[in-house]
Amino acid sequence: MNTKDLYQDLILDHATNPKNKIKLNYYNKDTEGFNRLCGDSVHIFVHSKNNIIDDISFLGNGCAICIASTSVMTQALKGKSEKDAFTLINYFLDLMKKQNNDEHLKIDNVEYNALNAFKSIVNFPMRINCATLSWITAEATIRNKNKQINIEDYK
Amino acid sequence: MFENIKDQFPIFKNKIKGKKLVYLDSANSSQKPQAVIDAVNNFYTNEFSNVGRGIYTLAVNASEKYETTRLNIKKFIGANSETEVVFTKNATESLNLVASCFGEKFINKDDEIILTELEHHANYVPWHFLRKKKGAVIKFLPIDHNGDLKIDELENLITSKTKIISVTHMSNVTGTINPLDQIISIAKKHNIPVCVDGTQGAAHLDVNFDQLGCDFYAFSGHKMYGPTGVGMLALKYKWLDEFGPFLGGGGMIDFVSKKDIAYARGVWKMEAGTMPTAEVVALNEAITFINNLGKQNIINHEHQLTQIALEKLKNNNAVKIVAHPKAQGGVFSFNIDEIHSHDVSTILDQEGVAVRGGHHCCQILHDVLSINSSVRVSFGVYNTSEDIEILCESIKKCQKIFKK
Repeated sequence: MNTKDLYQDLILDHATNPKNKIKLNYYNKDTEGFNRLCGDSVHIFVHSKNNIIDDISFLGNGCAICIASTSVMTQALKGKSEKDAFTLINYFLDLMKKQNNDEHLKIDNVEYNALNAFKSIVNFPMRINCATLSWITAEATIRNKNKQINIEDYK
Repeated sequence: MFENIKDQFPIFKNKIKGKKLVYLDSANSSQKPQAVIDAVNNFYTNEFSNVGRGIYTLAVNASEKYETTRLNIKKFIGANSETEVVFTKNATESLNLVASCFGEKFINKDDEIILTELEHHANYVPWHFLRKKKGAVIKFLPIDHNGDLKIDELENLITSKTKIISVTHMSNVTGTINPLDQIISIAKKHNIPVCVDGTQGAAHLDVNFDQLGCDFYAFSGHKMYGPTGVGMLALKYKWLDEFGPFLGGGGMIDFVSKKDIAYARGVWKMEAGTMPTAEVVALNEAITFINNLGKQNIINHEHQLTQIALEKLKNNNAVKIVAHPKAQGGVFSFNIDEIHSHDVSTILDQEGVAVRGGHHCCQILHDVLSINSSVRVSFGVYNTSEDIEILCESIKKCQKIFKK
């Protein structure tokens, strides 16, 4: 396992030029997620209508893994039904636990590749929270559950 | 300066990710020489007993060894006959002891505590407890853009309500060595006791408790090549009389009845329950290790390495050192343009280089410096200029990965 497996081009691209990194003008759900151990923070904004995620964006500070994962997450969830979003979130979180269940998932190749670019992180246990922070926060946002969450509580 | 010193530290025989270990995190905790490891082993193998309890041979010998460490620690920090050293779990517990015992007796609503913007959370959170519990006020002596305390502003912060000043000897992020002489002399003028967080200082700076004239000096053994689990608090004896006990339990009592309890006097009042006996005994070997090499030689060595590293990193425009204090110990922190400290830390680890990324338990300092986190490099006696070469090359690899 070398560093390049972790810092793949797709991850570096999203880290240096994150997508949807802006505060939405119109949103009806938002949650701030923190990783208190390292100081990463993401604020996720969602505009959802009739259980469809119309728009999603984020603001935040963090390492390349955290920002790239958040950027990929917003791209993947935008336009999805909330139900499909939860399926995708669970898929990604399982991926980070080394539990593959992709046969049940209908996702297109682009999404599959984007999400699986993060697969090597399981070999860097100290960094898994960097990747999962925004996905866990997004789930809380869509469920409109908490205004703030701490990733340490979601282990 | 210390040729072949790594041979005394068995950890350097191991490879990290197939690479030579370049350990640059001594400000966090130092590696242990074989003599210290052997002392722990020997105590458990041949000499183990609890201390201060039994009157059988093993107990007497263990107690004697435990007290020998205390005596040598006193010498090590230049404590005079009016000074005591209390053993605790770590420097954090030592600072909690001061805040708790001092606060209980001397801090009331609206009383003021002066800290600085350089403090580790260990020298902030215990005082914050007093803010919550007693309604005390915490004031922070600010730093300038170099990371030095604005010492001129100290007089202005002091009022008739100021009850204590607690300040670090040396920042664990910027390496700033604080002018304790000045701080203590100003405090004395106003009759305010001074507590020093010596967690970095005891291991990496010259300490003379008697000359300094502070009231408390908190430090830990694991940062000075000793085992984990032992902290120390040097304090003027009068405070042991003034303070109530910190923790209650066995060993800290004189007499117990159903009606009342009389507490032990002196250090015993503060050492409740079974102490980290083997660790205290082995700490003596760490002091011997430092004394044999000469503390001043170690200080010079670490200072020299810091200067070499800072000079070399000047050649890399992307590396931004977070502060440039006037007096600096063997610690500095930096960021690389556009690369987060945790990414740097992960990539350096692949090269066998152990550095810490994050806020290093100093969130206030990072806020003041307007940075989210930083990468910290800190030196110990075992580091060499070759370690710095590897660090600089690894930083370049980091930049290469992010440039793709």
